[in-house]
Amino acid sequence: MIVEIRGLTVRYGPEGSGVRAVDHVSLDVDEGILYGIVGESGSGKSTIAMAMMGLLPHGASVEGGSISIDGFEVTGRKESQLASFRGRTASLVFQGAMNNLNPLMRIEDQVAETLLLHRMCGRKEALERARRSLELVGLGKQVWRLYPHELSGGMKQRAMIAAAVVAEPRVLIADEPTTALDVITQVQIVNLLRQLREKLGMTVILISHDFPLVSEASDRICILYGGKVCEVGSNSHIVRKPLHPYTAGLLNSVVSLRERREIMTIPGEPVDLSRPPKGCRFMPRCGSAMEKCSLYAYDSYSPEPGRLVYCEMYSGPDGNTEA
Amino acid sequence: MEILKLENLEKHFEVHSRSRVRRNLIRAVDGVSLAIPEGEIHSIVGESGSGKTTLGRMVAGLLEPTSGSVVLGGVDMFRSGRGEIRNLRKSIQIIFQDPYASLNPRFTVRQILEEPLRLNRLPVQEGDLLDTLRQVGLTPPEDFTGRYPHELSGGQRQRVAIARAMIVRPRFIVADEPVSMLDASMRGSFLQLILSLRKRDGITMMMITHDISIAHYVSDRISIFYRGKVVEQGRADDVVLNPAHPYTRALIESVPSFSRGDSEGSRHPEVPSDVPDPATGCMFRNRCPKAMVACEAVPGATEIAPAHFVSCHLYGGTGVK
Ligand SMILES: Nc1ncnc2c1ncn2[C@@H]1O[C@H](COP(=O)(O)OP(=O)(O)OP(=O)(O)O)[C@@H](O)[C@H]1O
Ligand SMILES: Nc1ncnc2c1ncn2[C@@H]1O[C@H](COP(=O)(O)OP(=O)(O)OP(=O)(O)O)[C@@H](O)[C@H]1O
Ligand SMILES: [Mg+2]
Ligand SMILES: [Mg+2]
Repeated sequence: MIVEIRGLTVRYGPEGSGVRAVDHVSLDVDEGILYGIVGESGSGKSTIAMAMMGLLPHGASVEGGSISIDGFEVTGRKESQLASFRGRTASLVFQGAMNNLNPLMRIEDQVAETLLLHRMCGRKEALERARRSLELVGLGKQVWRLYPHELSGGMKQRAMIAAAVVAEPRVLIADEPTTALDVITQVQIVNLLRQLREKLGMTVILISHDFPLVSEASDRICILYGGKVCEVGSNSHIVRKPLHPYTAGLLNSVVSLRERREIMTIPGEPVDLSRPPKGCRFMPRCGSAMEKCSLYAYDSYSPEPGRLVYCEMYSGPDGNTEA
Repeated sequence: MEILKLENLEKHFEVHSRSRVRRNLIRAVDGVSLAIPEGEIHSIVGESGSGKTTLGRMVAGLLEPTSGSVVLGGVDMFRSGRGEIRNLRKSIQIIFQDPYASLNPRFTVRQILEEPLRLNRLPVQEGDLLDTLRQVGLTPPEDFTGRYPHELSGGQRQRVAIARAMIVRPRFIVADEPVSMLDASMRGSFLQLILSLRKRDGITMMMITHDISIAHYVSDRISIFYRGKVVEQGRADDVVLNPAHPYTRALIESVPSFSRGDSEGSRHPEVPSDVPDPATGCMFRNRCPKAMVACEAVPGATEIAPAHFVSCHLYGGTGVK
């Protein structure tokens, strides 16, 4: 297990008020896999990613839980202790970051910057490694000395990935890396992430609200709703036989190009984090809700090997509670 | 009868780049002709930067074309008298791409909905206002009328933007990426709303989207946009099930789907993304797996099946320019 998150709880704003954007989230990621995290806007995906890097924005705090990456405990660390962890153990491609490239800096210099910032090597070696990294993501010589505005969206995203992997991290987290790109380029970025996993044995965590896209890329998938995990399982399990009613609703509401059918919708509104319902956060929209759902203590059940679901439907005699 | 007719519509922007002395001309919309019959939903599908919003703004009368014409309900948007154009404005509404930017933050939902009525000198009727909110799923409507945009979620804002367009009961709506901010389940409700409005009011709509699955779901016809030009146009089923242009094919081939979930190995679309645009001829040719010498000329449109048009030399499109 290269990533182990236990009971992670993150709050924005002061204690007692503010919102719990991530609430008792636990995740286990095996080394060398492509792990997808799916959730709608506001479900806490970026917050989890930033917490994993020890990079939560000002005003956010880890209220509880632990995050261990390659044996390194991230929570409660000082900045100085995180410096050697970032980039080498884990690296994050931030959501929307491709629009924040420095317009005055050549691409190769921006990629080398990561190494220089962490004082990992000298200037000359940094540039060499930057170029190797750019080549790895499919950006050849003719691109190295260009400026960001001379690159297409897809090329910029590749450059961001090159910068993230230049120090050869064990874990790469990509937060919505395809959102602003057209579908043709999306496929190419996803293929690149798979190649990084296959060629370098890197563990890749792909975060997106695009469920079909994540399902094309991932080995395992975690579904988030309102800051909580709904279920975790292998890609094919989740897609073929969803356990959580929310996952099933999501699958039904995707507009598919290949089969023209009625789209079903999940009734109701997304959860308001400042006033979350008691008990299961999905309960107000759930067709299978029962009385005990408003009381439930957010337990996980494992009705099938290799799967985990946080839903009281599985609390019967067959579902065995995991601690 | 067609309600909207675009003829050879063009919008070019001149941009001066700081680092280069050279002036660049961006052909954001480059010779678009299309007609939308009354009661039809026509989708414009294209990648980011292909000129969709620019087209939509011209159709809504908000941006003057470089050349060509927009004729709506028989009236030329940019060449008719003021009175005629003012009347026209009543019958057309636009739902803007970004509900964060397009709703006045100092207005309550009620004020936002009253504004287009006032602009069009229509009476404000309380019942209508509440009904419109109900139709877009903001229920109970009384809970929403007093709220400001920052008190709404992204999806709720998008619904207010939709309600604002609907309240004047337009005959024609331009919807620019109306569902981009909605999560998967709300997106479905919006699409159903559109279809029911069309049934009830016979509304005509030009929907702009980068998502071909959504276009296929709601529209009668689809135009595929590439670098400011329509490269393929036809009935939604024809374009999606029998795509002809290599770009349309690549687009459809690339749409992710669950059914391919655990197929091992990655997909390799034949179309690279990281190549520069050519200066002349077919704008897609540097990425096109089927490019040939003929592609150095701009292809004209060929009708390959009834009402299914493709601008590609593979189909005998004769070169112009
Ligand atoms: N700086 C902040 N201050 C207060 N609340 C915040 C802040 N950043 C995020 N939030 C809230 O925390 C919740 C989770 O946000 P997060 O950015 O993690 O969601 P996400 O799943 O990444 O969404 P998206 O798909 O839109 O990127 C949201 O309700 C959001 O409004
Ligand atoms: N006012 C302007 N001045 C200069 N260039 C412009 C202007 N408006 C648009 N453009 C350019 O015209 C082209 C088309 O832009 P447009 O916004 O119409 O694309 P779009 O298809 O709507 O893209 P998106 O999917 O990102 O919304 C782009 O290259 C854009 O940079
Ligand atoms: Mg995010
Ligand atoms: Mg646009």
